[in-house]
Amino acid sequence: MVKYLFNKFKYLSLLISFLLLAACGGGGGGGGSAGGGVGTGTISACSDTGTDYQTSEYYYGGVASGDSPLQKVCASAAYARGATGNGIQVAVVDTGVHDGHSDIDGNIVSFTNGSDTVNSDNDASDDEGHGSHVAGIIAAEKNNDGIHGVAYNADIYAFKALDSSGSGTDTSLGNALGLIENIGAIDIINNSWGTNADCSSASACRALGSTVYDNWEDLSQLSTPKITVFAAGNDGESQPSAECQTMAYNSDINAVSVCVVATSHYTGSSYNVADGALASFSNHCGKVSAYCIAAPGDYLWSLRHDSNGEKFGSGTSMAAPMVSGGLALIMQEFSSLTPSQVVSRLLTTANDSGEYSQTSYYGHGLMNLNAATAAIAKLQTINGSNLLDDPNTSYYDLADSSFLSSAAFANAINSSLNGKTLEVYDSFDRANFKVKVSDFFGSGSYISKNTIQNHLSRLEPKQKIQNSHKNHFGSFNYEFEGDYLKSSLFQTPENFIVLGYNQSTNNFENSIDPLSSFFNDSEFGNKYLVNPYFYVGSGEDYFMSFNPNNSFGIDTFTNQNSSDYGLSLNFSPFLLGSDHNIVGDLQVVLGTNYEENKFLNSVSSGVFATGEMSNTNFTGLKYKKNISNEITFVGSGYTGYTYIDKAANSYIDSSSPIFTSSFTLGLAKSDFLKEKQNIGFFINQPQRVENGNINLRLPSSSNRDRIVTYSDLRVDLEPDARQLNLDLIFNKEITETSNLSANFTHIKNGDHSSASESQNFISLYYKKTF
Amino acid sequence: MIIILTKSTIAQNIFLNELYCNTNNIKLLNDDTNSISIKDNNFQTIISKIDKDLSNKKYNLLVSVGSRPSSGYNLELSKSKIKKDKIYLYFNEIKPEKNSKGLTVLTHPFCLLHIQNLREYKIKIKKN
Repeated sequence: MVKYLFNKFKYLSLLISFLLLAACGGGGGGGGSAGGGVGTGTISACSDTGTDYQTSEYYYGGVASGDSPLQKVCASAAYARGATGNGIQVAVVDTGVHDGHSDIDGNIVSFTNGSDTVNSDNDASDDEGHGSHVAGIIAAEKNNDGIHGVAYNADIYAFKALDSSGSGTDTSLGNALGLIENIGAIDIINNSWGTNADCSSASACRALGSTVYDNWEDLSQLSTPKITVFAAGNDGESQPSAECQTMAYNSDINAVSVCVVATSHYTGSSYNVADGALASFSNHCGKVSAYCIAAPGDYLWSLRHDSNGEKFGSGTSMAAPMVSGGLALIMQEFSSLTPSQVVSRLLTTANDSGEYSQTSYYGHGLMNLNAATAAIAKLQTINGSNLLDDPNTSYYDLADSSFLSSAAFANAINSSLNGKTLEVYDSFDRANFKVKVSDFFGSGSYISKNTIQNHLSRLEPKQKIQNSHKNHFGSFNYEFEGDYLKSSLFQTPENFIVLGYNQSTNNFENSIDPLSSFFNDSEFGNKYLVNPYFYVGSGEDYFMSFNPNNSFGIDTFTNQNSSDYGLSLNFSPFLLGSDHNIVGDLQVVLGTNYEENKFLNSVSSGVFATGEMSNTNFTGLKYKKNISNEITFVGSGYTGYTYIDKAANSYIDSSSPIFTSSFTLGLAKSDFLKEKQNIGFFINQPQRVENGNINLRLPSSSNRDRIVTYSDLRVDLEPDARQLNLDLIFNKEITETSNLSANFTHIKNGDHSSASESQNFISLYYKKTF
Repeated sequence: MIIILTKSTIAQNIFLNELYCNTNNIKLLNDDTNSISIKDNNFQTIISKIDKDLSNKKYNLLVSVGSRPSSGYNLELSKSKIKKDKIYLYFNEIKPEKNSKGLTVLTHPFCLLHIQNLREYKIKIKKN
């Protein structure tokens, strides 16, 4: 008895446990959509930014302007990038096409032989209406009349494979695909038809239409496969048509095929569940969500077959050609993409947020032609290889490539690069984009140094602390600004060895006196006489000179990061004799410098890099003569030939020798009109390229074999004008603790550009120290 | 679908002068199921949805089965009979064969008829 009762209790416990668990679990069940169902999610719009293309034709394809199908997929943004479908051929396997319709006749390719597989003739005219409507959605002309298609410049190949009642057979449809296989020009095939059946294996799908299946597989296995688009069907079922389901079981087919479901954007339609949601008639993507996308398909206005007019149509038949047109835009925009990459880009860029994240309904989401024709990941330059996918090909981010031109030729570069483009590649799929070459180039500028602020700073006595020490080894002078060592100069007796930090050690330059009293800024003061091929101004310039005697010396130079190495041999022939006071002081300079990863002080990187040893051989003359006890004439002139070292894989492919020049002429008078009043006048031409060019080898196009073609661009470096700086300087020592300075500077053709406006600076400066 | 016409007096042979059956690309009637429309002020508007050039004004009865998911659907008048005070018009919907291949566009099979003295009848729809 007890055992009986215990057993009863045990079974009762199990029963109660089961009931409790069932109440908590809430049913569950396997799989199903992650979302709350069609129309329950937030619907967001893509960004339709091509306002110039949003014409009445653009909006005409919907019932009202707010539901234009082109607008819903942001086609105008693609048009603004130049995508029109030009050069892309789309086959429409359908009831035929009315090739005489005035809004598409310019885009119809003449009917091919056998294109009517229903009646076995060459006339693919439309006797039903559906094919014309579909073709219009793809490629109706943009001509300010009626509608225009998604890819309004694409070409249509018409195939009549369904009869006047809209019925087709495996034979008629499969034979159409077979004909297409032999037409190399066709890129995309639109199929707004299908079979309302399920299949769960490749063989089962094939059994529903072996001719269609086999020819479709052949099309997908061509060396350049053709992209196939199928409508999902309108039975409102959780799985699409049999043709779409086929994609789940054949990897060759699904790599280049797309299934399309329909959204409704017309709230007056009885098929509209929510504005922009899946139309109630549309099948779902179901098990082919990986190859599936949504597009507008309810109440689309397109071409009639029996007149030059238009009519409405609803169904996934209308959504599929929206996608075929979109694929044509992508294919035209990116010549470097293979057909499977074109499909991948379409699917990857679909709007998959909110409502459209429900993959079982929408697959990848709602087609977005703005995102599809834009960069998906970062754009990069290629390293000089012509193979996009080769393991040895490397890429630079755009920001890693640059060229900062010296002011000696920046103006010339800007002119040569105007309007020129080069290809860069999306790191997602190496889709090719065009960017301006000039985007990589910046300019150094002499003008930027001649600001009012800089001008005044030259006149202002510096808060310098100058120290000088001298012993039998030599003299050491150094200059602080605050806690900062500004410059230093160490000179052994007779200047046998001179070491300078931010201070030239050239004995001719350092002997310029009384000119040095004009200028508080030593850099400005004798910058006209400094060797222009020693690129000072890094903040860490190092000079070293050897002067075995007064008539011969050797200068060396390097700077921060040791990117420059300069050497000059200096000859002062007049000092050999005793008549230099009559003829003046002359220094002849011969030298060379090496620049690492730059030339003529132009810094570049990435694909515009130069090699480690660009070299300039230069010569110069410096002259000074005291005309009287108070008037000094100075002059200098330099010329150089620069040889650019080529870097591996650089777009700077070759160059001619670059010939440059600069000069300064000046007169200075001390005790002008009165004691302790100095005046000076100087003319200076900064360094300028007189002759020379570089040859850029730029990636200009790519094809679907993933091969890049390069084109040469010759860039002449001679600017179109010559900059001249004129300085008139006056200063007066009023007392030991006060002085007055005045300066007028005129700059003509700044940065050697005829377009530069002349600049004039006038300044008056008084200082008194207490 | 059966259309039943009931006259107050004994039904006579109806004179079916015109019959036109086809499919349309856009829904014809707001009721997207088996439905009819008798000629009234909106009738020509409905006909213009079919074809702007369909100007035959003799039609006075539209019979529609609503939206269908593809091509291959049609409506036909299969037979008619008179029984006492009622006239029965039998409409048969033709459906595509199983696993057939058709256009993935919404279609709207319909028939347009001209029935003499139609206004003398009360009209009902009955499913088969």
